[in-house]
Amino acid sequence: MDEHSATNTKEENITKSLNESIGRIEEIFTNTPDLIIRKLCIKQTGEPAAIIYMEELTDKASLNQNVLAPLQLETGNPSGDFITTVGYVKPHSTWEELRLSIILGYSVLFIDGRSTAYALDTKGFPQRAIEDPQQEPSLKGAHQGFIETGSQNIAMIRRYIADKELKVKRYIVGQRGQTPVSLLYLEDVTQPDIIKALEERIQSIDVDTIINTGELAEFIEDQPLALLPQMITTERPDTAASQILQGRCVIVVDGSPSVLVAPATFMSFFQTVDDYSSRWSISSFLRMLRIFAFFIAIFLPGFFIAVISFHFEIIPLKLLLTLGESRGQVPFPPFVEAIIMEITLEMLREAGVRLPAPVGQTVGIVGGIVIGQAVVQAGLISNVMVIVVAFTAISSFIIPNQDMMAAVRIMRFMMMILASWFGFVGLVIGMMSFIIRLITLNSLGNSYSTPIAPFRAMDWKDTLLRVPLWMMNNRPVSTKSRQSIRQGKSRGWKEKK
Amino acid sequence: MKSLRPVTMLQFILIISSFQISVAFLSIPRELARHAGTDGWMVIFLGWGLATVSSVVIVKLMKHSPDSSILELIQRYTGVWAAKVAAFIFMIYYLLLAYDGYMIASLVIKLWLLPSTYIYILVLLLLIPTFQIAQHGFQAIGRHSEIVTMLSIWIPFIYISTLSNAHWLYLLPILKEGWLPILSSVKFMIYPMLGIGLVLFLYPQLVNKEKALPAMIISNTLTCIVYLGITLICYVYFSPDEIGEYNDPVISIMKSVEFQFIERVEVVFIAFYLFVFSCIWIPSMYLVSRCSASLVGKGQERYHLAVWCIVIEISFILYRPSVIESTQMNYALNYIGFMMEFALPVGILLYVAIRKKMGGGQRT
Repeated sequence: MDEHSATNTKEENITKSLNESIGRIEEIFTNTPDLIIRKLCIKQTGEPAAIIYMEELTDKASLNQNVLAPLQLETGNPSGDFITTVGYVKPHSTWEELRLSIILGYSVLFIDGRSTAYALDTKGFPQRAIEDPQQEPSLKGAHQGFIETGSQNIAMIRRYIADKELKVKRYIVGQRGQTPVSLLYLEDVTQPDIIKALEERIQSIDVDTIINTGELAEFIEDQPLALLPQMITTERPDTAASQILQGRCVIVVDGSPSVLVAPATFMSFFQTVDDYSSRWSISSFLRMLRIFAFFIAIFLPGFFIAVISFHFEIIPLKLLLTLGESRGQVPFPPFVEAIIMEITLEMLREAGVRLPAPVGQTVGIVGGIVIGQAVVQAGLISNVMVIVVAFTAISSFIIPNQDMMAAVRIMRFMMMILASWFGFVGLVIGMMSFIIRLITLNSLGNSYSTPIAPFRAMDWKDTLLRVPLWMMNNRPVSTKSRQSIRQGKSRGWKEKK
Repeated sequence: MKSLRPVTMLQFILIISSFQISVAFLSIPRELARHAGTDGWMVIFLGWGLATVSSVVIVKLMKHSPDSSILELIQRYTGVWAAKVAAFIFMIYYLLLAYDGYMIASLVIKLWLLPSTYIYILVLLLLIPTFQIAQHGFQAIGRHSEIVTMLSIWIPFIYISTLSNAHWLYLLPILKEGWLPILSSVKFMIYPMLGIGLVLFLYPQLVNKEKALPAMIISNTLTCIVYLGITLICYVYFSPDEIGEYNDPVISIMKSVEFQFIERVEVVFIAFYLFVFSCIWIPSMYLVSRCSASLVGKGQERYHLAVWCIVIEISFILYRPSVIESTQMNYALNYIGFMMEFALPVGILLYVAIRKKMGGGQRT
């Protein structure tokens, strides 16, 4: 920030003279062609006044109808003051507040002879329509995803939890960006320590601006160096609402289409909103499938390398013959073979994300033909390796959370290296390291690996299995919520019969 | 004093049990068969009794110091220098146990899985997870034990599946040589029961201190059930004459297990068993670092841990132990362990009791 203007505007109060005020505004906002200063005379009181606003941050229809027209045309306010028909009017007396209001898109009304200026809510900036969530599509869940406007996102969450206990704390983060960051929680449910910790961490951020939730997460996470994400990012309002109801906090960053959920546990990355709307047996099966896929995605290539290069004696003979036939022509050791394939796959994936959609199809064709066919026919890579890599890739796609998926990809490479050096021993050491990281991680003072370790029997209801909803009467123990009972006996009618 | 992170009762039980089982599991059928013959499984009951008596003593002793470990207790009753000596003794003892754990784990791996890898490289590999977790104290170690237990649930089923080749007649006749061989091999049950001494340090962190004794008895019982199971399974699988010949009957027995998708289960088992092995080095190394920090009186525990990890690594580079030496060390640990975990608590308890009677209370 420009230190000069900062110190000048911080303390100073607004002067009574209109012309002086306008001069001061022009001084603060130099080289700002989109700043509009409109002078007028208020009809009700006859005072000269000026409206100042940023052109593109203002909803012009609202400004004309609700501010300019009433000010210039209407009389008849018995109190004798000016008339506007906007919903939100806030008096300001310091330049600092005013500067912020103008930048955030309020229009500011100066009146000659008053040392108070009024910020009028005529905000209207370009925003996207609400669409299906891109990253987390769901079969049965709602088709609304968060958008880039924080206030809208909060509104979407409120639509699910119409409770007066849903509190929103707002902070302004970023010296230049002045990004509004909101903390949402249920006052009578969420553990106060969690709120306090989050509040403290958000307030101590001192940066230019926060563009995205990911940036915020990096500043407030417990262990930012760890590979595993410690907060969930979601772009689904229904997920966010259900997390709040479980006793967690949601952080909404204005300008980002996803919100942060904290504290997270490892297992919560495997839950999706569909789990709760499908039949319990099916969603339990899917849960287990996801966790199985998680381990496959990390360990399968490493396991394959270990088996082929160290422990081929564990393979039954018939299978060994098939493998040998497939690998016979391949000039590389299994590790190199696997690395080539995995790197190709990662490149294809990254290319697919960054390329514009019309060109994106080409990647699929090239990748499919090159990986699926040519490499094997040329004898560079064995068939079995292609199968292993493809199976791994599919397994990693099952993981519902993108951050977790990314962590898995990195871990897979580590496991491959360890396996190529020490076989199963290396793999087990890698696994041990991973588990140790898991149990030593904390998310806002809550252990990350619960309910597995520390073992919490009650929370297993929503871990590997998703028991029927009417049996989950308590909120998860891991969030240490103040009010642990979530629901009563919803199926009591059955006992009455 | 920094606040102690609580350890739940389940974690308490599992830390002790997994510490006891981890290394001894592989050797107990062999040792019992060599020294007590086919009646060796009965020795386990005696071992259980012995450990339970010691548990009672340890809990009685620790009741005198509900909020601090044995070192602070000794300091309170006998002064700073005695506490320093105690810290030194405990440090050496746990260093020995950790060394023993690393030695056996790396020897087993070298023997069965990676014959051409140097032992010190394997130890270096094993030290990485140790350092990662041991700096976080008993709470993390407790969680680790929980996960290891959960991951190990498949092992008993593999062993039970070997019972299809069992010859139950091998167990008969019972008491063919009388009680003497059984009673005289009780000393070989000391090493498998080592681990109750952890309570001297663990007790202050236990959430529910009234349940300490039941918890210890549960963990001793759990350990003994595991020992009894594996000993009986080995006895009915191997003939009484050949069992003493095998170096690791517990692993060799797996050769009879074969699945359609995997032959040689023991390869997977040994690699996986590193998890169980880790339950002895990790608490040991943590206690080594804690004792050494309290001995020196300054420095964070994690720096001490790092130093001791390096020391262990260097010791393996300089000196390469063999299987025979590891067996000798087992025998030595039978005596050392008896002194440290069975005799020493009795001594301290007597001292504290006499002191309380004569001096009319503790110094604070």
